Amino acid sequence: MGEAIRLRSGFDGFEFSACRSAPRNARRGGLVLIQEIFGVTDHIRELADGFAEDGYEVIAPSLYDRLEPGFAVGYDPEGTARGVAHSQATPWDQVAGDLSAVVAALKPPVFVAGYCWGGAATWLAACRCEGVAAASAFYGRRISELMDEAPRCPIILHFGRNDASIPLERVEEIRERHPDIPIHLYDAGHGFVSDRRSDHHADAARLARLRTLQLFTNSGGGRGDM
Amino acid sequence: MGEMIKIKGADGFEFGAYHAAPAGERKGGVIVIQEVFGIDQHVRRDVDRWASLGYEAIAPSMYDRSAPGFEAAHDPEGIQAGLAHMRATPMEQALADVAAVRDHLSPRGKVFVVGYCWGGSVTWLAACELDGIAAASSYYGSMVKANADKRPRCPTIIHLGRLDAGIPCDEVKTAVQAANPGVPVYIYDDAGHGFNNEDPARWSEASSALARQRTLDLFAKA
Repeated sequence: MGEAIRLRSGFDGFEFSACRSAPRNARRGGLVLIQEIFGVTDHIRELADGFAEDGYEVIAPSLYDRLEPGFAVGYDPEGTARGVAHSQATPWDQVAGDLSAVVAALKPPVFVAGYCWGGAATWLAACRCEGVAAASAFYGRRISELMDEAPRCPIILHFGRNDASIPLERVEEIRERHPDIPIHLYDAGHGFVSDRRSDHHADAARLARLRTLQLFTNSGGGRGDM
Repeated sequence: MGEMIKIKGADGFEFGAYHAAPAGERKGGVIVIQEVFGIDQHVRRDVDRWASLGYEAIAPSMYDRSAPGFEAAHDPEGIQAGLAHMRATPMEQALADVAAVRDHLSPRGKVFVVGYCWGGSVTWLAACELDGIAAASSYYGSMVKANADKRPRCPTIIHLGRLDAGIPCDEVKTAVQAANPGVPVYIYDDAGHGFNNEDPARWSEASSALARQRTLDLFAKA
């Protein structure tokens, strides 16, 4: 499991906490791993450790620290309500400032991956943060509201065809607006990466993770080995 | 998900093998022949996938006599170790072990062989030297060219990546088809060595899917 670190936001100077997982063996790059609405949960920490196993130095920032330090809740209705409230109280400009600080704390190449609300935040980082080499956004419903911005680095998007919270029309709008950006669809629902969710889909999660690792490898994250 | 089993070779040695039971109706047995890296996560993943596609799949641990349970990383040291064990594994012995796995599977139906990298070479030679194989699918085996004039005893297909620095795909195709005009040699333009391997640096999503479909079609009609 990772260690707790602190970083200072470029947005307002606020010092927020983050979870850092050290890379196993040779370092492929840095990875900013962005939480779901539920905070930096055990699931997010496990994902961070998994990418660290693959050779990434991973930092998962606690993006709700101004509202509730150390926030992490379950997928139950109460947790969902609190997570939604925090996400709505967290402006994108602030998120971008926080994420820029995380990117700056990592040696290049730096990649970004995020899930759910963090999927939209990943899009935001690709559009606004300096020094992002590539990004992978998982089922980001609110990418729709950030569609006018254009990513400055290679990015791939993952959505579940059966995601009740993201109708495929929304996905098609993104595709029409940004036809060159790869959008991968999976026969899965929302949050299919998380093994804590009823929507967990192991095959889809594996394939999406593999596509993500390959994007990073092809975007400067190779170790030069075979 | 599979489990390790033991199979007795012709020499009496019991080697380990990763075995997975078929999902749904059993379509046959598939022997999966490893790369130089041993029975690693990628080989186990491949066995699990053949099982999910309806085959009883077994990957024998081919280096068990010199290094039981050998598994190596895809880094320079791992490659060196894998190549050393490959050289310490005579082809005769490898083919005898494939035959032992065939005998383990054949009471329950047809037996197919698929192999990758060094296992691609073993697959080609198994198709040429062994009876009782219903069909074989050989991926990027570097020793195929030197054995191109051998004749497979069963329907066999070969997959090569155009970006494979170690295997001159056009030359292999010419050599194989000079002796075996009926053997399809598929060349994948976007693929390098190990393109079926789900190592992000090697994997080709499109080519691995196409080669797998061709292999499934071959097995289905054999």
